[in-house]
Amino acid sequence: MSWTKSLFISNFKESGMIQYRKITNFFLQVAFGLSCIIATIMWLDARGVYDEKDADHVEQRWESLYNLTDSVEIDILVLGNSHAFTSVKPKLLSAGTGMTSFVLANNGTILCDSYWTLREALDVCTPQLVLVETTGMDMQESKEDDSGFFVNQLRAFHARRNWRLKLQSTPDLFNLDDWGTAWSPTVQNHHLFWTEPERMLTNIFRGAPTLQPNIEKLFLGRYARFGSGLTDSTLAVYESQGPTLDGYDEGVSQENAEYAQRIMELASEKGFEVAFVSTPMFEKHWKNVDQRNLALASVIDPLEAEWLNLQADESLTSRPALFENTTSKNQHMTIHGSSEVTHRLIRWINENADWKFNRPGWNGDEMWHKLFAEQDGYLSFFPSQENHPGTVMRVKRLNIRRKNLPTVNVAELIFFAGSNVIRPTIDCFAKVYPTVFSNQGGPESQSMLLEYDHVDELSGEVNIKRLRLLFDRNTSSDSIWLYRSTVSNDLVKRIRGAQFLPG
Amino acid sequence: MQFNSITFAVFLTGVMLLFWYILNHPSRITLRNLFLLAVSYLFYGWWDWRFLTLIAASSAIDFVAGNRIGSSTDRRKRLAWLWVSIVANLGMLAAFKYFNFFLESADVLLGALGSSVMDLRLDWILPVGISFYTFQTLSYSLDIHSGRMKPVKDPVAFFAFVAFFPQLVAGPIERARDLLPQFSKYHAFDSKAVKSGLMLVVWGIFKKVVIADRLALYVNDAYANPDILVGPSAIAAVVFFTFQLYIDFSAYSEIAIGSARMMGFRLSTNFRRPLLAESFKDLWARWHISLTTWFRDYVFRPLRNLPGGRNRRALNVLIVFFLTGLWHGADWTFIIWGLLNGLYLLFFDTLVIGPMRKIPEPLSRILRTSFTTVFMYTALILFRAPDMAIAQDVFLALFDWDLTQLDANPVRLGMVEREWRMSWILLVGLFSLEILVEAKPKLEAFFSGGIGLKRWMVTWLLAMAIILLGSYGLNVLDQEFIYFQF
Repeated sequence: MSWTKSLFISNFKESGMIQYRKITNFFLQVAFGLSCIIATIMWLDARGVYDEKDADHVEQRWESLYNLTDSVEIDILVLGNSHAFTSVKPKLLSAGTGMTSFVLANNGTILCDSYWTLREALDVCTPQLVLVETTGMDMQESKEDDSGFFVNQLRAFHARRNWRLKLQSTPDLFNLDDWGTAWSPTVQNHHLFWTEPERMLTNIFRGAPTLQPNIEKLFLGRYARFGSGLTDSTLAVYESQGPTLDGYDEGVSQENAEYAQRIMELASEKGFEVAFVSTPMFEKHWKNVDQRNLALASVIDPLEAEWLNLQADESLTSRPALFENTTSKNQHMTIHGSSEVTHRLIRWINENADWKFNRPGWNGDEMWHKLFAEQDGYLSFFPSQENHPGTVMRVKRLNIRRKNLPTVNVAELIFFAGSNVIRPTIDCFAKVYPTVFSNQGGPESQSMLLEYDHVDELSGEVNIKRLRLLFDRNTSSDSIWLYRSTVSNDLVKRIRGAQFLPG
Repeated sequence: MQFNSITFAVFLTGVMLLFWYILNHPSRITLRNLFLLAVSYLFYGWWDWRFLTLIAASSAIDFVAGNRIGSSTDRRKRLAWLWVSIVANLGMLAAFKYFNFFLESADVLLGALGSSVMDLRLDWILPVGISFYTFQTLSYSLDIHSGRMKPVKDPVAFFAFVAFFPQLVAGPIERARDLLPQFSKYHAFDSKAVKSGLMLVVWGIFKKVVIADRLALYVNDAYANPDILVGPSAIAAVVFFTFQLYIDFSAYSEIAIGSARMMGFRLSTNFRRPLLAESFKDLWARWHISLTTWFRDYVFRPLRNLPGGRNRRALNVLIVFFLTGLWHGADWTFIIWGLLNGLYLLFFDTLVIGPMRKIPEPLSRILRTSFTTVFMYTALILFRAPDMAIAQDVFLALFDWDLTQLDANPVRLGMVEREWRMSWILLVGLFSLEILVEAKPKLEAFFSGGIGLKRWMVTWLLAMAIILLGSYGLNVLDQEFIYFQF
């Protein structure tokens, strides 16, 4: 007789006082009661009664990944928190490296979350390079942190589809008290009864079981919000109050260090490269930044992983226009800033001799081109597609000749209908081969004046219009310069001529 | 570990399974007690394991002191060991809970002389439940000294009694003579008792999470911004807090009693519909009964033996209520609240309630309860306010009926309209239920002691209400039980 049997049965037989059957009966009733409660919750979950709203960007990002990986491989996967998805332009990164990149970052995430995000992503793609943005490593400590960041972690968890991995990751990601919240939208959004009963009614009578994320507004995980940089008044705050962050205060928690190690182990098991990237904040945002660097280095160096620390890049950190207009702790990058960072990343990836990536040669893949064809980064790295629906006009090889001056070779001039904007516009890009200007200045010293015929939409009359294109440093490279401007959405008929002007 | 958490649900399930299947056997009582001690320490250590040493020390001192008192016939020795117990327990309480308060009060006095003692301030955390378990262990030594019980020889049973997790951190404060013998007995599985215990636990969590914590949203807002309160909103804040406090604490007691009952232990009743009290004497016979009777038995009765007439009795009452206020918190607001209750008991009951008894029933009863209620509710402003200034602001706002201010700050404050309405509905519902049970006490058994499908349906409904209507989750701060702070 096993010891357990002796424990259970002998008591029962010996004294007759322990009513084993009664006890079991009670626990079975409790188990049945619990099952009824769980079944009710699951039914409400399945009906979507407590779905909060159209899935936000966290869920859209996952949905987008699942959709994309049905047909395209992801070569570069970017992990991290909001600093990753506001600082990296995946289209530009893809265009610059020739490798499809995707930002699978999540607001306020901890490295534990990034680890499980990666585990689930590896279920649907096989990246060659995983970039881990480090802000989540040293500014967010663990799941014990009680904060609003938790909401996004829940959303990401909700969006994930692999039940086995979700089960495995639950104890790592959430405290026991939050398991119900993590697994059930009903538990998570039960407050709707008080705050948005109309939403519940809509959900009940919607007909469809659950809300599906709208992925049109989000692609490749990018979520940029900040259009303008630090203003003078905000800069004055730094002068009066000093830096916001102190390197001595921001260490890497043991938990984050452990998960950095686990990501590296996963990399060696699955055969991909891992690199850490520290996206920058404004130089006056930090004091004792060296201490922060030391803290990060103490974790990254032993892992023998590559680390691009852009906080150390003064050409970035000194420019107010690149940073969100705030002195609060969590300062992100502007759209402009993210272009700069992405260009640094492109160079870093392309110039790293140790990385022997299989550049998939996507150039010949029409579908791949369609992913990026609307993006300025694409236009600087690849020829536009004449048959792309966004292409309004494309002129190949335009030479601008002027008496007594060297000829300027324009490789391509494109009028492209902008997408994802409220007011329809047309972007005009001119790709120019590097040349020597008469004033000996660089490409910034010139602008391009373009003259074209346009058709008035109402009267049908043809008028002559002039457009001034400015040099765009962010989307230019050493081998090609890009000049650009935006015009309202009118019909361009014929290019009449162009010339470069100083200034 | 909070009662209103999944962690506790898992913990209690594990404890129950081990307790009933393996450990509860006539031949394994010590092992069972050892198990209860271990899980109780785990329960307490979940919050901060360092303070387990305090419970262990308190238990050890009283175990030794109790045995020495019990085994000695020398009156002086017995008294000396009693003082060891009193000084150790109250000393611990004084150091952790009252030292800084007395220091600050002394500093105010010394400030007039130009000196300060604030350098002596201790930055110690107040251990959860210290006021409860020190009183519980103290009752053991006091009962042995007065001959009301004999000391126990089994240290495991005694340590388990002190640390018994259902009532460790917020009571009921059990008398050793009631609870301790239960640790020496074998408990047969009583299906009916276990099920009613489970129902009591679920009912307690419902009251806490669905009602008390939602009222807390309003109350916290009101007391954080007393300047935005005017007549109606101030009344709502006062009424809501009274209900919140009662529901919160009675919920804790019910979960404690229910959890203990599920393991065959019987804890004492702590509340008996106090909001229906017809006088302050009646109120204190219904509210936090385990504390009131503790003070009655160990402070008021010994004081009664001192010589003196009517004035002496009045002084004794005030001493007891001063200590009651001080027990609740190291702040003048609590002390004044305690003294105010003492004064009400002495004068209000005689001068206001007494004459009302001459009015025919049921009008008399309605008036008595209404008057008691009004004075009780307003006194509790002192209980809730973090300082005297805020208490004063809230009190004065009760009389500010410039309703144009409601345009800027609606009477429901930060609550959404539906929460506001539902809160009142829940309060009226609960209050009506209490009136019903007060009128027909048998109904209590009907509501809580149902059988079969009816009980499971009620439990299922309560559980679903907790999940779907409770105040918890994202953006809701953890709502600790109010009495944890004491």
